Amino acid sequence: MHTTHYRWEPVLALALVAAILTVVQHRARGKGEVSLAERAAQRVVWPAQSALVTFGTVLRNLNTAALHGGRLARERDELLRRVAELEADKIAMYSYYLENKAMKAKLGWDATGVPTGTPARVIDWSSDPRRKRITIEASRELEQGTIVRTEAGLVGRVVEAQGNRGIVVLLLDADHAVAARILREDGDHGIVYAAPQEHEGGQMLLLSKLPHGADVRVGDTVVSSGLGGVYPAGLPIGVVERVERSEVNVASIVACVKPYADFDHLDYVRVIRRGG
Amino acid sequence: MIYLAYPILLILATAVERTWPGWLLVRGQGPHLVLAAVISIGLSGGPVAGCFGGLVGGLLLASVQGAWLGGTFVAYMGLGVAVGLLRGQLLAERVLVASLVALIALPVVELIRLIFAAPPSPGPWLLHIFVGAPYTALATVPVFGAVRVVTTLLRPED
Repeated sequence: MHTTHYRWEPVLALALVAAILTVVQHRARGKGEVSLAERAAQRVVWPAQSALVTFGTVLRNLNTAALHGGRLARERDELLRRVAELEADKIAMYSYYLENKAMKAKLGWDATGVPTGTPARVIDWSSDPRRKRITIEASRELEQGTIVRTEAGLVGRVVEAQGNRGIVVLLLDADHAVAARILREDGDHGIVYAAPQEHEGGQMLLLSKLPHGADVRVGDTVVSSGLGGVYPAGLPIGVVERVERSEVNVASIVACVKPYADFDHLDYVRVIRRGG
Repeated sequence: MIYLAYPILLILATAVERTWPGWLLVRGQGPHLVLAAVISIGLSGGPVAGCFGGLVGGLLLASVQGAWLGGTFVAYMGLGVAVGLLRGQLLAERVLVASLVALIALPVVELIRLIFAAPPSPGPWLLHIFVGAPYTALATVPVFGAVRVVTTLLRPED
């Protein structure tokens, strides 16, 4: 055992650097931006994360191939047959789509487009219980404000983008809200935000700020209303599971909405450019 | 040279911690590899290296998590300096000591971060501590080994 004398000047200098970085971060966040140091840190960590996710996928695939080779070959044949069937269905669906579009045009309704967007994979999941965010990597450059969804429903939007990687704020984020409405003719409008506590059966959303005496029923579909311009109208959000009326004012309604997107298993998502 | 190697180790630790495979999670918790790396750097390189490790590790982790830097810096840099003071003391080069330090350090670090950003409910936070601390202590073994190898090869100047 021996006594060592350390020089403390470097420690103080590092503490000063830390203080400066903290102040810069607070200032940047105050303006809704990300500080240069954080961007630089993300720029070096994200490629490493991306490589590790790829490595993990390759390992899993190799493991599956080694253990279940014969069964996979049979499954492949079955899937090829199924693909052929689905291709036939797709052709039929496209003819229905064209027919539907023509009918909507006759009725004067907006014709919705064919599904668009680019697939992206999730490379990071926020562990902060309040700030529900994911980091995604797409095959093309991302932009701030890009909409992110799964086939089932809305996931959130890109709040920070660097090249083809970006941070997505989820519907479950405590500081996030979406203008929404009930999917019905003259459906009531409200605001969807994360329920403060996790409910049985997973994380829930709340639909509130509904007009007094709003007509909300269990089983109603909730979609984005497009008000505010952050999200386009008509994106599916979830289904109403419960309707709660205020004990003080029965006309005041809050609906518990189960999101369509499976937030516990977000591996791949689809990114849609605003207006795209 | 060692001050280039430590950030590379910390980048790797951050990336592995953030992409820890789901089948290796214990009750949804993975090990805190950045914490383990900061402890190992402190024990191997002294308080200055520990403080530097805490700064870089805290910056990387908070940036990827979207967390506030202040609390993370205080926790990780403080830990790096405190652990660095153990360098050269009895048994400080034993991996068991590094593991024990990790077991104690995680609750301490999380308590410091708690002051800066309180969690919405105590249940998940306690689970995070009770599962995360022993898991991190276990994961400290290979991390400490890697840091020791790098430190021995590159010989830091105090």
